[in-house]
Amino acid sequence: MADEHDLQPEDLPEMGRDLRRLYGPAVNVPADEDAAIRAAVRRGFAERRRTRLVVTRRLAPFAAAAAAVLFVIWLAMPRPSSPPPESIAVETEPADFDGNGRVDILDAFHLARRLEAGEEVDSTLDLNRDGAVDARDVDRIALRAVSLTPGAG
Amino acid sequence: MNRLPTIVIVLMLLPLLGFGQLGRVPQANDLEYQTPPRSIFSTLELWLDTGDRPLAAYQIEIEAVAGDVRIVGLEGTEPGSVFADPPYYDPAVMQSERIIIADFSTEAPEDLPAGRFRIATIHLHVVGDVAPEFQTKLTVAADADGTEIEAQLTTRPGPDR
Repeated sequence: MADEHDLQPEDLPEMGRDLRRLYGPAVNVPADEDAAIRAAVRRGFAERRRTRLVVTRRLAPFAAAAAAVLFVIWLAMPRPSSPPPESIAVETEPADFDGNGRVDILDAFHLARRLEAGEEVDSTLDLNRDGAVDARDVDRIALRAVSLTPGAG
Repeated sequence: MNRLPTIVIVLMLLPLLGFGQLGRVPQANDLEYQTPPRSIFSTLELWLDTGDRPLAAYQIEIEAVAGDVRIVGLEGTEPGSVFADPPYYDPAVMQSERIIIADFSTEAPEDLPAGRFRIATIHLHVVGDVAPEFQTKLTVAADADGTEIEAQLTTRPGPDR
């Protein structure tokens, strides 16, 4: 259902009359006055553009010199040196007991033999972190050697 | 229009369609009923030949490369041997087609096996008619000093069960 305030096509002439009554007739500006106003506006814009160009031309050499000085300073500044290769921390695998680059059953075997012989072993081999390097750590290495589960062990 | 009651009724009737199959007598042309997939339990024996060097440690990788095969169990070697207990393995790979097994012994060389002997047996579940094939790799074989030795790995299918 149409709203009672909706504008209908037949209302347009009436609305035109109402608008004319509200704002009155159009003001007639003489052509010479209109041309004078346009010329004044154009002169104003041209003056502003000229000023901007003059300022830009005067400042350009100073800006270039400042940029050059900054560039030289930047070149002369000491740079943070990259750390020497020795300082890169190498992640070692404690379970790789024989240090051949992989964890296999021989790592468990070597550790088991040293434990049986009563030799002292590095505390990093306490893989289960129970405070002692013992047969349970040997088992842990052996299980890691046979693991096919990513991230297990 | 609210279709919710219709949807609820349809959902309630759906299981009834399935129940209708319960009393269904298998038909002669029902291929799935006629040829159920063959399913057997089998074994694969792993044999090592170390010559005259006693074996103290080994590690073997086994993978089924043909057939629908699932590894379901492991067995060590003969009772009384230092390798009589099942070897180390990853329990997470049971029911899969690939496994790594390994074991070691710190016994004296004279108590370690040498020559040709069965080192382990793998229990398998084989489904279907495709004969299983395996790829094996002996990655470690070492003597009592931990020195790696030459050894030959062979497999032999065990009896179906």
